[in-house]
Amino acid sequence: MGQLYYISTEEWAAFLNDILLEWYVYAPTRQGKKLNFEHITVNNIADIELSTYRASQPIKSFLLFFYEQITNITKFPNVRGCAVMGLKGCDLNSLETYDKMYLEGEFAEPFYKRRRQDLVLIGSDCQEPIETCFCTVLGKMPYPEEYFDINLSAINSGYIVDISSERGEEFIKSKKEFFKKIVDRSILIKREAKRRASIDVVENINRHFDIKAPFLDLLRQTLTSEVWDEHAKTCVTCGGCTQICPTCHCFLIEENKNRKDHAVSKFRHWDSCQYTGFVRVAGGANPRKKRHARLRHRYLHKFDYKRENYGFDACTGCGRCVEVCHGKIDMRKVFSDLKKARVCPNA
Amino acid sequence: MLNPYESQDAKIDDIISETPGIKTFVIRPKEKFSFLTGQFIEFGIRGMGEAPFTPSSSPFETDRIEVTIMKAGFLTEKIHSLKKSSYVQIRGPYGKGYPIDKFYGKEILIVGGGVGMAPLRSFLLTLLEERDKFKRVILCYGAKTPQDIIYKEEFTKWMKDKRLEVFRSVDKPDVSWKETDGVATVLLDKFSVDLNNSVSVVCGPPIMMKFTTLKLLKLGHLPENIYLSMEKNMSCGLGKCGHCGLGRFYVCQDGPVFTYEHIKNYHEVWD
Repeated sequence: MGQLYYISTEEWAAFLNDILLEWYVYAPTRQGKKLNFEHITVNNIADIELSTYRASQPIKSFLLFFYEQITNITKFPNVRGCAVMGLKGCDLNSLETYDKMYLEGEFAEPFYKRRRQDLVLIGSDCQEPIETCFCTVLGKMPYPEEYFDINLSAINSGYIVDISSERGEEFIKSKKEFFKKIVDRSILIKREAKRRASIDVVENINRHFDIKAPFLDLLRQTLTSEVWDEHAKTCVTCGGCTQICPTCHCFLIEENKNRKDHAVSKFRHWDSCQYTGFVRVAGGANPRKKRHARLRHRYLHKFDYKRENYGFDACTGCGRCVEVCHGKIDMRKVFSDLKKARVCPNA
Repeated sequence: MLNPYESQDAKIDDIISETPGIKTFVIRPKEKFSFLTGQFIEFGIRGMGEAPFTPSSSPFETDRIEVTIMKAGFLTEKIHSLKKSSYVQIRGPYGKGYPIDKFYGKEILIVGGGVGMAPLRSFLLTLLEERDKFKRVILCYGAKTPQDIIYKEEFTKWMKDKRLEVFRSVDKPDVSWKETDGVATVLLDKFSVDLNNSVSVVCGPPIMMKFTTLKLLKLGHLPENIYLSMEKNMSCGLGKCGHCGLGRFYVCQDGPVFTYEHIKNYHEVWD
């Protein structure tokens, strides 16, 4: 836990109003049933919705752009002076995977590294989880535990503000007078109760699935199960689950003409292991020609290979893949069915 | 600013037509470029894209690199239409390559199929560079027809080389073919090796690698002594893009050379 402050809702709005002169801020605003990240100006401060549930876009949209030119550039673009607000636990936890994949190893991904250094991450507790949420199934919490610079917990018509990094300090520095040091610790007990209530909501939503991570053993015992076939039947190979997933990190490099000067450069764009040609090699051989093999691969990559390599699952339980799927494929139902279908060797 | 996605220009010095569908491109990189045998490079044409290939020349030769390419798709067809003196793009090298120092003092069995001989040629040339460090070098090569054999001239040389034992086979022989008939695996019955002090290095089409591995296992070779080059469509080469996943490995970083022991438990190994 970092430095704790309290700020009232009115003071927070006033703070934002001032800070927008110095900072480029994104925050979730409501559009119909969904929350979308929008650039915040003095005109839409009132539309910000911080404490309900996660926005539609994954955090990777800010760190590794969907499509961008990666060669013939003079410097790696930075996002200094930018902040993203309203990130939920499930958003921030995806950085465990991204940091591992893109900052470590023989090569660090230079674009990601640059933006990750600069971007200010402002989290907030999720107080109204929705039907697709399942963070607790993964052993995660519906409030940010790490990876945030600042976290806001809505309470008593204001926020408990947790500043946990220098970047966070930097963000409030010029208007620090708005933030009151917390003296009365009883407010933290209230926060605890609110957090507990959110955990209960998520647990209740998922009780009937009767599943709990890790899923590594379950997956290894059900590689050839018909459950994969069954669930893949409704997959339309749109790749939506991977595009919207905060931990999916695969991309493809292609060459194209720059719109400005028509010079040929390389471009990186998000790719999807659910597309038919993802692992196709020259000559046409394709180890994952079938939809069920691709669906299974996505689960194996997240819950088997990542766990074996790094000791964690590449899933935060945000539920975006469940929400986005045209075929109504629900990861929780898949695991639940696999569990039922498992032939237990010791039984 | 170091940008790992940036390629460098390389000029095509020479083009050798190996078979109707396979050409070897001799290229001269603009800047210094070195690699270890078995490592791969991303090779492409500006504006057309790039694909992974393993150089077929000796890593001891650093100013010119040879890359043997089979016409198999969009990019390779474009590459085949290139003329001498035109430019290609290369970046790399990537991956781990063959652990040569682990092979010192051993009997080395090389088994190649078709264009899979390309990385093995680089490996073989590396062995010949310090031949006295290895106990024995056996080369087995299988092709579809006598016309499909690549490195024809060099094979003639290698077959006369006292330091090598060379065996070749073709699936569909013609009247002039005096050597073995059949797929590459039949060559493995023609000699025996010291199972306690040998390694096998295999590269070829997936089906050939599968049956060669199974045969080697049957002959008593241990899975940890069988080295396989795995073919995947690496896009970034940096261990990030996810295209070359093989179980928990990324072929571009953890491979492309794996021992069978490492990968035998993955259900997709031979697909």
